[in-house]
Amino acid sequence: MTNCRRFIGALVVLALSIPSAAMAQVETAGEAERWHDLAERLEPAALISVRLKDGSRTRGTVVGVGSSTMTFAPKTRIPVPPRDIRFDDVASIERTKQGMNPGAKVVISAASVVGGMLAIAALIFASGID
Amino acid sequence: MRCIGFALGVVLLAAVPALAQKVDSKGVPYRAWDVDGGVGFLSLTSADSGVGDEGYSSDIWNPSWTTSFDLGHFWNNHLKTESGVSILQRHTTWSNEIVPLAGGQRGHVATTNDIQQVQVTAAATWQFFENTFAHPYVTGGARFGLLQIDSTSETYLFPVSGNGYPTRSSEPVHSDSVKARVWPFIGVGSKSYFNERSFVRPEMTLAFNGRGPSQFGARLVFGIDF
Repeated sequence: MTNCRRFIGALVVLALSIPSAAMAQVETAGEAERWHDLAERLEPAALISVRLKDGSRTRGTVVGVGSSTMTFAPKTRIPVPPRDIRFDDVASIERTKQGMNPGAKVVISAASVVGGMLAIAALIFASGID
Repeated sequence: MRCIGFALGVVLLAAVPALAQKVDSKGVPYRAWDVDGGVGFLSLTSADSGVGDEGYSSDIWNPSWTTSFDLGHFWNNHLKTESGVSILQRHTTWSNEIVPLAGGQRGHVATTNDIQQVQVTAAATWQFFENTFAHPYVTGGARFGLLQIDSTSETYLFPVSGNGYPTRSSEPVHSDSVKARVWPFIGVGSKSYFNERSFVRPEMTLAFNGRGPSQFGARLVFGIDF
């Protein structure tokens, strides 16, 4: 009797989980289709940020769109060949902007600090003259 | 003339083709070498910057501007070994010593040390991220200090009794010597690129002697990968 109850319980759990798994699959398929439509509508050389379901994020441009994959050229410092990304693997696609390079940011920050220090020194010097 | 030589070197390095580009086991491309130069400051305790017999306590910090050059070799996309040279500002220390002499007389020896310190570093650096425009990094290693010391000593004799000014007993004595020291150091920084190969590298370092932190430095260097 106990074994029978366990068997029925397992069947119920299995029966409940099957529709949800199927629904998730349908959702993934629909999601992939939406990413495909979005990739197709991007204008040439648009810079995007792609987050994959494994958690990785890459910036770059889409250089070609197929039925189930897009060819993506990552924006890396040393150029690397474009690679295919399956729409099923995509968690999100966001537009992004071309920002100032980090080197320029560092130089501007350093120049600001030095400029500020010189300005303070000049003020101290000027107040000393009076 | 030095500037022209440096600029010529940079142009030549920039002209090196992509032959030195390597790819690590994960398929990430990287360049095997980098070279840089720049300026910064280094503040040292008197124990590290002086001759050691100035009579100052070790917690007096002496700041110095530095000019530095480095050459690094990447063993993979993250690990680099690096050696460099930092030239510190020349500075002067003084020491005084009272010497008891025969007959109850006292001598006063005043020594001036003109010190030029050059530091040679050997470091291992781990940089984070792969093939991006900004690579934060941590570094550590050994810093070798070479102190070129030009000393001038003058001896004065105090009067045996009564008041009076000391008189110089002989001509100043000059001597040259070299002292070598070594300190471990750690540092953090970020290699931030302007384009594929040229970069700027802000960095902060902390070195230690037997009594604790004894050198703090910050610098900004510009360089190129090749």
